[in-house]
Amino acid sequence: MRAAITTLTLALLMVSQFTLSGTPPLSAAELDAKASKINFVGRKPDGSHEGGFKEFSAEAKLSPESLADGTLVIEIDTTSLWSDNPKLTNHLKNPDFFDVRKYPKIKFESTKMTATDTPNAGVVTGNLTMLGKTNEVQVPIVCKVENGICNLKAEFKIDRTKWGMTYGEGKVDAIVDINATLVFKP
Amino acid sequence: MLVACVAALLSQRLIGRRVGINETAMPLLTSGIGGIIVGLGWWMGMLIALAGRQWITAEIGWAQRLQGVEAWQTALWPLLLLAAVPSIVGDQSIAAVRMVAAAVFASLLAYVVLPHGEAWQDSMNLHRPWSALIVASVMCNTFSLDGLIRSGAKVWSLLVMIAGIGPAFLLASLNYAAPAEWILAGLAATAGVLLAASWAAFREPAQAKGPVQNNESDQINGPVIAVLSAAVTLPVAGLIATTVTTSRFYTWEEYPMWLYAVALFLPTIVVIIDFPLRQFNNKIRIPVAALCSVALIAACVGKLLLQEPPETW
Repeated sequence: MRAAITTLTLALLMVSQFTLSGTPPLSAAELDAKASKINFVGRKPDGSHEGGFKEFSAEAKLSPESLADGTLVIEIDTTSLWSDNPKLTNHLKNPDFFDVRKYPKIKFESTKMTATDTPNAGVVTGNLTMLGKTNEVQVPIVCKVENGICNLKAEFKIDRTKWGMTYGEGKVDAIVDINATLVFKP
Repeated sequence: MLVACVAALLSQRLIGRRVGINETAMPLLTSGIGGIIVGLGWWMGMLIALAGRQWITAEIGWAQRLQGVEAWQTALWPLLLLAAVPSIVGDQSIAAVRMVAAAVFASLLAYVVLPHGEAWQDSMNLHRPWSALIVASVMCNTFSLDGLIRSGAKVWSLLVMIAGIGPAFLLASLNYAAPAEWILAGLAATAGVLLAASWAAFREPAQAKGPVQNNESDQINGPVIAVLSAAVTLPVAGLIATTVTTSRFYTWEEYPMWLYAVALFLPTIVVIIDFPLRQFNNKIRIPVAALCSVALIAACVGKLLLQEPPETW
C-alpha cells in the first residue's frame, strides 16, 4: 500500500512538473487534448454503441506533500459528442439523452484522491455534474509516466438514470461504460 | 395573428362557399356539445399520455409539470383550446368563428412551441418563418379537412388525418423520441374517434345500400359522424404542426424543405387532389386519397429511412 501511494504520488508529481519547492504548493499540468480521449459505450439487449466527446479540457493540480490535496477538474463540451452512427449522434444530442443545447457542459471535480495496493493505481472520488444534476462518483485510475508524459487511464461505469437520463429504460441499459485516457505533458 | 384572423375570414368568405359550406345541416346544440366532448376526450388521451410518460418520471414540481419542461410539452394547452372549438362545420357563421379561433390558437401554439431561451439564440432567425408555417399548417389543414368532411368524406377524413400524422411521427422518431411517443397517443386517440365514427356509420341502416352521390352520403352518414370527425380536426392539425416544428428545431440533420412541407401539409395536399373528384362517389375518392397519402408517406420514408438508414437505441 505504501509503495503504491509512493508510486502514484510520484507519477502525479511528474504531472505537476515536480515543483517540490516552488510556491504556490499546488501546480498545474497541461492536458494534451489530441492524445486524450473520453469515450463511452452504451448497451442494449441486442448490441452496443460507442461514442465520446471530441472536445474537453482537464486541469490537474497536485500537491507534492499530500496526494489527497490534489485536484482534477474535467470539463466536457457536450456539443462535440460523437457516436459510431451519425443518426444516433443526432438522437444522443437531444433531451432524450444529453440535451446539449440546455446543458453544453459536463463537469467532473475531484474531491478526494487515494492510492490503492495496485502499482500506479488509485481512486479519484469526485462530483460529476451532468444534465444539471451532481452525483458523486468513484473513478479508479491508473497513472503511468513515461518520458515525463503522464497517461492517466480510467475505466468505470455510471448509472445514467441518476442524472435524470431516463429515456429508454428497459430498452437501453442504465449502466454506461466510460473509458477515459488523459495525457498530461510536463 | 391579426393577419391570420383576416386570412381565415377571407378564405371562409371567398373560398368557403365554393367548397359547399352549407352542404350539411346539423342540429347546432347537439352537434356543438357532442363535438366539444369528443374533442376534450381526444385531448384527455394526450394529457394521460404526457402524464404517464413525462410527469411521473420527471423529478420536478407540479407547476413545472403543468407548464411543461420542454417547449413541445407546453403545446398541451393550446391543443386543449383547439379541441374545445365548436366542430359544427356545416353552419357558415360557426365555421367562420372556427377558422378565426384556429388562427388565434394556432398563433398561441406557434408562440409556445418554438423553443426559446439562451440555448436557442442561434436559431432565432428561424422563429418568424416557422411561426408563420405553424399557423399556415393548422389553418390550411383545418380548412381542407373541414371541407372534406362537408363534402361527404366523413369517416375517411379521419384516415386522412391519421395519414397526416404519419410523416410528423416519422420525423420526430428519428430525432427526438419523447414527442414521437407522445404523438403516438394522438394517433391512438384519433384512431379511437375513427372507430367510433365507423361504428356510427355501420349503425346507419342505409349504409348497406349501393354507391351514393355526395348529397346522399351526407344524409346517410348523418351529422354524428361529421361532428366526430370535425371535433378532432383542429387538435390533430395542431399536433402535426407541433411535432414537425419540434423535429425541425431538435435536429442536427439538414432535411430538404419538401420533407417539412409534406409533413406540415399532407392533409391539405390530399384534399387539393381530391377537390376535382368530388363529383364522383367515395369508391373513386377513397382509393385516390389513399394512393396520394401512401405516395407522400412513401416519399418521406424513402428520404428518411431508405436513403439514410437510421440508428436508434
